[in-house]
Amino acid sequence: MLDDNKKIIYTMRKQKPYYYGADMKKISFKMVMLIIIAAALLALSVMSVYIVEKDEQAVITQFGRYVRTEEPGLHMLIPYAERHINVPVKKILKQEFGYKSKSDNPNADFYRGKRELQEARMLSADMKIIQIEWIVQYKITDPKKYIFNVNNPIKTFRDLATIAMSQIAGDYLFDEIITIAKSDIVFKMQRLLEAMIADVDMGVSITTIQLMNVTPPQEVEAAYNEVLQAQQEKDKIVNEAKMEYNRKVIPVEGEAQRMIAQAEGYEAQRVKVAEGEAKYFESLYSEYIKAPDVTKKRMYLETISEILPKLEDITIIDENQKNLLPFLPLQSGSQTKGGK
Amino acid sequence: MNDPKEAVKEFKKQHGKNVTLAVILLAAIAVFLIMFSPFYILQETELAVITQFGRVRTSQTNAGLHLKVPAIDKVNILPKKILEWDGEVKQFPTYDKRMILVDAIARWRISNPELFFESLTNINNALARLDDILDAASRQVVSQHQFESLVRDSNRINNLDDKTMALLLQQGFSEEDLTHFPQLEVGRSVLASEMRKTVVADLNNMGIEIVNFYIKKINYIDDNLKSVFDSMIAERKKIAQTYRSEGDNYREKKFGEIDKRTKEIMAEAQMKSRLIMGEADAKAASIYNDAYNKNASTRDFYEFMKKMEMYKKIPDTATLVISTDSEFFDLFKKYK
Repeated sequence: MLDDNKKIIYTMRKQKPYYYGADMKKISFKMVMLIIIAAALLALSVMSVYIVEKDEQAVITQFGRYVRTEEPGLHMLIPYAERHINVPVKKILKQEFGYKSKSDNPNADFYRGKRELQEARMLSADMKIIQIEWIVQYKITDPKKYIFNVNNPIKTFRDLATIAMSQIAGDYLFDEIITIAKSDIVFKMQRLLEAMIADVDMGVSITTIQLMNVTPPQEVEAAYNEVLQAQQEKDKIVNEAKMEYNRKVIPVEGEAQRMIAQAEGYEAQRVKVAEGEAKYFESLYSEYIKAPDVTKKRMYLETISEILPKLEDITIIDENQKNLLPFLPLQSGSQTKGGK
Repeated sequence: MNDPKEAVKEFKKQHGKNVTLAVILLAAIAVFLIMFSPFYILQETELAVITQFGRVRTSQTNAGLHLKVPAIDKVNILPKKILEWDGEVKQFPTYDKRMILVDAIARWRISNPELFFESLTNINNALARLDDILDAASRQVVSQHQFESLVRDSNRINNLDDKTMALLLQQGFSEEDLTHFPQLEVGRSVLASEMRKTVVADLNNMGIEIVNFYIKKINYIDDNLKSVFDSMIAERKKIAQTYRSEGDNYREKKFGEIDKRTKEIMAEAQMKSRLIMGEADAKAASIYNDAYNKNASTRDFYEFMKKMEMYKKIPDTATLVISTDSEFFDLFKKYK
């Protein structure tokens, strides 16, 4: 198709060479000039307009020299002489140390390569090795300083943050870092890092520092877990012993109370019995006193007559008989019993 | 003649000379402008040292459009920003003869462009010199201090507050573990500023200002790592053992307490019950006394009564030998 069209054009030229060429020359000179000027103007106007996004500021240089900072919106500059560099000033930027999140999703997996593990490795004040992973969130507060003052600002920032962390970790004991000192460390870290940043005047300010993960190195993790296990074992033993205490002591307390209650019962019974017997005696005595001899005799005889019929062996001896022995062999009943 | 290539050739034959001429002319103008331009542009991040035939004439640190002598002045552009020096991790011995890995890092800038240009000319040369000077400085300072001073920054751990102490003791550390830390005279940040001090003058003579000089990290050399891990493991094992022993200790104490407590409770109960019973017996006795011990007559009657009661309790199997002069059987012998 295209080849066909070209063929037609060349055919036309061939047929009317003069006409065609003269025509073109006349039109092209004015037109080309116009088109060139229009295009140049268009290009200039396009080049002189730029946009600053809503979370940015633009730093404008004129022949390389800083002239102004522009806020978000549509702006003009002088093409060629002026340049704009857009800097995200309102965005909170984040640097991760000791790990890399695979995406912006905070729940996504983390990546820890050799470099990350090395970065997280710190020495504690008791000369132990500890892995500290943390983040620093920051904002660019002065775009001019940020882009002009420091070569490679992100690397500088990361270096300073690492220096600060390693210095502060060096002042805390391993067990403090892993347990109670985290907020202390963050607080000190923020102050130290701010001072360090002020030294290089790089135009950023820190929003948040957060310790993400503080762990013993992999090589000793098993021993740390053993401590936890031992702790649980101890708790278990303690609880069991307490249980045993309750199991043994509480019943004994009951037993003690029972003993006391029994004693109290005994007391009640003993007193009542005594009172009863005393009353019985008193009433008997009040009768006896009326005729003591008769009563005594009666009681004696009554008693004897009650006992005697029940007894199996009774031996009555004469008071003048001095030797008892001759009588004894006759007592067959008691001997038979004693032999058994 | 139908071939478009032929048409182009035709055109070139007619206008070729003019086109070549125009191109050469434009190039010549460009070369002239570049070589003989009286202007140069300096960015905010740059500075320039102006040389004439290799000799430094002047320097320019302000950004913008500047004038120069065309063709004669040479503009040497250098960075004005703060630059980094990230030294390699080096193995240095400390004062207490321990080999450690030191990762030092510095930030620097060109403070005197003319001096810098004369002595070092460009950044690569400067970095090479910095390697020498800064490595030497860190080696020297490291060799003059003990390992602890390089890791720790203060004597904070020598003065732990009570709360921390209590927690650590609870974690299985002994009082002794927590008080043996060496007292430092200087710490890490002081060493860093010492390191910086030793190089300031030298670098100043080369037109370099050292903005900061830090020990980024201290690490054990690989040969020592294993023994560090081993001692960490040993310490944890000790702590684990402490927990286990504490558990056993608690159990034994508790069992002892159980024994003691049960005995105590029983003894006390026995004592109380004895007291109560004794009191009961005393009360009973006093009641009996009140009744039986009024006078000789009651005593006599009581005795008599009790005897009678006892007689009744003589078992059936008993053998009774009675004399005939007893009150009951006296009549056996003779009737009075």
